[in-house]
Amino acid sequence: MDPVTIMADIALAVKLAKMAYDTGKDMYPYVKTAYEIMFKNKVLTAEERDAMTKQEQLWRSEIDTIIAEDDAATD
Amino acid sequence: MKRLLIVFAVALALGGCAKEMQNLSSAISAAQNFKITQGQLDIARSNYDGFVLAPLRKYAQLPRCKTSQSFTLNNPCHDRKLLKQIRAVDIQVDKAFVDTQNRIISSDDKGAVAAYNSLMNLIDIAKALINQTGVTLLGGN
Repeated sequence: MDPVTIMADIALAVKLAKMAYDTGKDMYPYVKTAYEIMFKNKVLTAEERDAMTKQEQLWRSEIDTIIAEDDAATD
Repeated sequence: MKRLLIVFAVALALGGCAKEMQNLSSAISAAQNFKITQGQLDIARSNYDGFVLAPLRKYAQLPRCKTSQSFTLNNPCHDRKLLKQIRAVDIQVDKAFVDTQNRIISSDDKGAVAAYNSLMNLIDIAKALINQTGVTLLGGN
């Protein structure tokens, strides 16, 4: 393996690790909440449910924006 | 039976088996199919947000795949048709969550069970679709 290939592989591994970290970071609070409700008798407050709703709305609007961009794209 | 399921769930959760946790959550819910509690709905919603909606957002943020290109670890991208398809299911899931929540609030136990079962079916469809994206390879279910 030449140094250029090795460096390219390292760069790819770092990129993938970053993506995995970012995805996990977004998922973690929800998985933790589900765990706490299931096993620690946590009860969500109205404020926590509102916060979830707001986060969902934000994510859905981001996704809808991207879908609209996809629809407008010609490539 | 319920106690046995919970003990098994704890054992798996301690091992960090997130997917098994979801399956057990469904199993416990099914074992209690005479009534849907607010807690069950909150678990379903947290799981959905964590395992479907968050990865879906990440998937959408990837560059758009060019024609005949598909997601690879080397070149991650989102398929516009698949993204649209998952979002369409997500809209139905969102409605089903609202429907189930309203029935729980109005103490319509029978209606809540039916709405919750529809919700679970829709979530299964959404999970199957999100698994097709490839983004779950990067930390999803």
